[in-house]
Amino acid sequence: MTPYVVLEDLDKHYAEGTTHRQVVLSGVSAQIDRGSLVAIRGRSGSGKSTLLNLIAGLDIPDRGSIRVGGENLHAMTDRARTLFRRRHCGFVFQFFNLIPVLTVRENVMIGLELNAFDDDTASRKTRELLATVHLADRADSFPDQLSGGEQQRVALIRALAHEPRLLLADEPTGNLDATTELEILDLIRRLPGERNTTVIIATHSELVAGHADRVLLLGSGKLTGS
Amino acid sequence: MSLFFRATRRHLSRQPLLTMLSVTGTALGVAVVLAVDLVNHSALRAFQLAERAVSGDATHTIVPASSNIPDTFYRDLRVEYGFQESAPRVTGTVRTPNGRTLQVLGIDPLAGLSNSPLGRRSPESRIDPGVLIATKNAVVLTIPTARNLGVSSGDNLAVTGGGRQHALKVIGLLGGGGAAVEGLRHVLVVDVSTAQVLLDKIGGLSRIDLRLDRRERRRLESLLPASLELRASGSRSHAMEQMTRAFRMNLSALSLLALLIGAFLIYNTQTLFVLNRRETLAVWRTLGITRPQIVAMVIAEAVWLALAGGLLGCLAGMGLSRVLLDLVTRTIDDLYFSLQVTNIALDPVSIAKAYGLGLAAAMSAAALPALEASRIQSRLALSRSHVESSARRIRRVGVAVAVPMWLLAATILSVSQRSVAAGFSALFFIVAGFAFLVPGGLRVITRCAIPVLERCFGWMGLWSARNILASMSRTQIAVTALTIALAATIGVSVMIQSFRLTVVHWLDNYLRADIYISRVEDNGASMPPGLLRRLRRQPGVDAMHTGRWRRLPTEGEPTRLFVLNVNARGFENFQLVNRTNRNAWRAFSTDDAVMVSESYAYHHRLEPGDPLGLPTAQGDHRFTVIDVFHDYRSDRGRVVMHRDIYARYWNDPVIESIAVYLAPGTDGERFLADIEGEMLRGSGLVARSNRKIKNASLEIFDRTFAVTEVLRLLTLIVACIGILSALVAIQLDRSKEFAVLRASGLTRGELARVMMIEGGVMGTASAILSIPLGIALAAVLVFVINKRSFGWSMQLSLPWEPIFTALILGLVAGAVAAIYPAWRMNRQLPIANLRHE
Repeated sequence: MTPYVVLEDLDKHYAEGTTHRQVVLSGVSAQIDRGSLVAIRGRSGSGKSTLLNLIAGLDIPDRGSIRVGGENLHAMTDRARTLFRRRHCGFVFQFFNLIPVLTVRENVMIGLELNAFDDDTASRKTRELLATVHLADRADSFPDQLSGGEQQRVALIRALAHEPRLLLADEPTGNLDATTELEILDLIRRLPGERNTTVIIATHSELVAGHADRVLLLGSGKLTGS
Repeated sequence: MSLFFRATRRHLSRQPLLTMLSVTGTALGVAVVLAVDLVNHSALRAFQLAERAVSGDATHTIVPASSNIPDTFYRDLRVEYGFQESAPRVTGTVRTPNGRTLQVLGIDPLAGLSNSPLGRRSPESRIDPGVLIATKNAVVLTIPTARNLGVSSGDNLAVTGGGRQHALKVIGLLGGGGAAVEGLRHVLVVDVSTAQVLLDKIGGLSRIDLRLDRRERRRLESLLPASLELRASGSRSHAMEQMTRAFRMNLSALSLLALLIGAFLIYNTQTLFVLNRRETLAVWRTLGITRPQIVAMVIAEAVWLALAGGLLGCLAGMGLSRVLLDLVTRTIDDLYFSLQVTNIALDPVSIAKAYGLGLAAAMSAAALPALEASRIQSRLALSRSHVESSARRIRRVGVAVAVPMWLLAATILSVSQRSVAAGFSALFFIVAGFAFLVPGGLRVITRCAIPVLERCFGWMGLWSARNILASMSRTQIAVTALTIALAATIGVSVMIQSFRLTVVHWLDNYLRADIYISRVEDNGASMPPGLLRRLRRQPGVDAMHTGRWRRLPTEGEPTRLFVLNVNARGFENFQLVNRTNRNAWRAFSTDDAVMVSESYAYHHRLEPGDPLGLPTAQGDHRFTVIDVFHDYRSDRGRVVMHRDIYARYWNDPVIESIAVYLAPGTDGERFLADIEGEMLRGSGLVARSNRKIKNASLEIFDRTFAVTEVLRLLTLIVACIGILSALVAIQLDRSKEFAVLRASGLTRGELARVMMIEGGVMGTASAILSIPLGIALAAVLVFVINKRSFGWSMQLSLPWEPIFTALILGLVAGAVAAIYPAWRMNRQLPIANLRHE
């Protein structure tokens, strides 16, 4: 298989005060194939979220390079990285992060609108996606009127609506009960096969990691196993 | 992008209070700027319309150097010299029984100019000129004026003029609308001879309007005696604009201060909006919204609010202008010339200017929060600690920014010797520089207050102080805005009080005579023959001085010459600025020398020893300036000449005023009653004690600054809204924290007290910080702005009252602003906030 994401010798640190610096990632290298589901597993503070942010181009490494779909993110301007993310990435977060002042339908349509889908296509796709996750009747609700599981399902279809090649999920089930967790995992699990989407999940959960094609183990900022 | 902006709009609608506060800040700023601009514009326009309505399409005007033009000169002008296109005017003021002042315009309706006020009406309202001349005491007025006075055609109208009562007969009303009618508002149009009787100007004319081509102008100039001056029409309007420029600029500067405070409020609100949405903004960035789009969104948000605020501000400004109109008109009337304005001219340029300024202020104020918002990126949400570290950065760079700004202010002041605008620029940099020190000052004051707060309020005091220190990003802007507003309050109050004390001191020195006699109407007529002799014979009179006002046609604007017959004792009434000439009195009474007032010296760049050329009856002559004296009668200044010197160059025996010094032990009130009964009854003269004149002068002084007080109050209101918005934001941001505390047993009363202590500490810190800035502002206003605007120097006195008032205001403003957030917080169930998120 062709590697879709290539990480080479990544270092990342954050300054703490004026003198101390905390090393978050050190010498991380990995290749992730197109259409695969990979879990990055590690304890809290192991650097999972930072690695996810680097792959999404939300942050830049201090050293090393990241290639996504052949594009060197490090070499891009901030604007180019933003537009790359807009077109090719989808995000799912632990705390859902739906836009509170937009309805469910509007939240799902964000990615479609940003990627200039025409109104008819955007409406049709939104309807279909909402039906897929059984939320068609909640289209006009606001996020605070939904349960946690419903919000995460909306977050998931929002991330997928514009058909990104890469889905990044940061503890997507960390805030859900066991039944809902399984429902969401099932939806995510089907993506590589149905859409050829590359999925990278940051998690500390064994259950989530169990659904992955491959697991990258992260400890103290280093890859400790695969 | 539409969803992005839709989300922005909804966010605003979900934060109605903050949104409303931001809109109110803009609205108040725009309202004050617009109101002042409209009033200034309306006053100028009213004057120009009145001028145009009176002069019509006359190209030139002959005016007297002093008092009146003999009406024989008008006859000569037409008959001997052949200037047919000319028209005489007699102008002045009369009062109605209820104290209302009306302008009198005496015209010759049959005179050569075709555009007399009567001739330009619509056919249906045209008045027969013959009736105006033939009917005794006939008057014509505009329909709006008649409506205001409650009279109609055929009615009698009682007025007092020249010290006597008159019954006028309304023979017709002028209608037709338009600028011409508006220019004749408050004007009684009468025949020339009626006006001369009404105004006690028998045989005199106020001016002659003419239409001249270049050749005729040159011919007329060669014919005019030295006592008359030929001016181009419109020069009076121009002179009026020049005279009131400094006054209007001071008002505009104060109104811009309100807008500046409003901009702080917008900055504060936008920062709060960004803070409240930092997580949502991070999501947008993750989903692919670029930094410029975030910047555009925050600025667009500020612009939307400013559009709404500007609209409300324009409406409020129009209303406020009506309140300010009376105050400003009265001040111009008191200080410069007779002016009555009842209508606000809704000038589209003023409205566009105020609206544009509001938008520009909003955009500038939103720029920093917008940039801050665009930095939100990598770790999904900008952490509060990051925001607080930005606030700390501002605090750390405070001195580094303040000192260069103050150096810049000092440079501007030293480079620009006379520019008022440069003075205000320096003032702006002083304020802006100090603004950067406020965050550091707030921190120091709050830290110092901790032991006191703990002793007074226990753990609540301690907690409140720590809350302020932990939330500097929200509190420091509000405290800065309130500090500037309070400093403006102190600065303006100290300046006014210093000015007042200076004027009181000056009046005490200058008005040393016991009784002053002058004409009721300032018509340039002389005192009745024999009055001086009779007064001298009156028991109790120790000495007398006489005065005579002349207006000399000098370049730029006319020079006011005061001719004084005074002895050495009276000469000491003048407070000389330099006192370099030991023989000043001898020089004044015997040499070709004059004294000039401080304003005159400033405007004409004169110093002791300088020559001053004046047009005398014998041609131009150079006089020597002996010294400059303090004088606060008028900001245009005057020249004072001894009567003996005056008599060398003018053959003019007219005496217009008499100052009487009473012998020690004489009862002034009784003397006044005696001469009023015996000598002055029915003479058109009035006698006033020096106390009465002092009181009247101080009344005018206080009226002059009434408009300043209103503007100051409005500025303070804007700043209080700033504190309110900061406290509301704290409440919003910490609602969960408060809910946890409520759930843990904190009572509603305790929570309210904590918030009010926080507000009080913020207000008190603002007040303390405002004291040095306020004193600095007062010093600049007294020594720079006033000097450059009016040429007056004054003593800076530091009364405690404005400083104490500012302290109380700060404390109360902070505590009062906390009432609403505390009440709102207490209304919410803790569980609601705990469930949130």
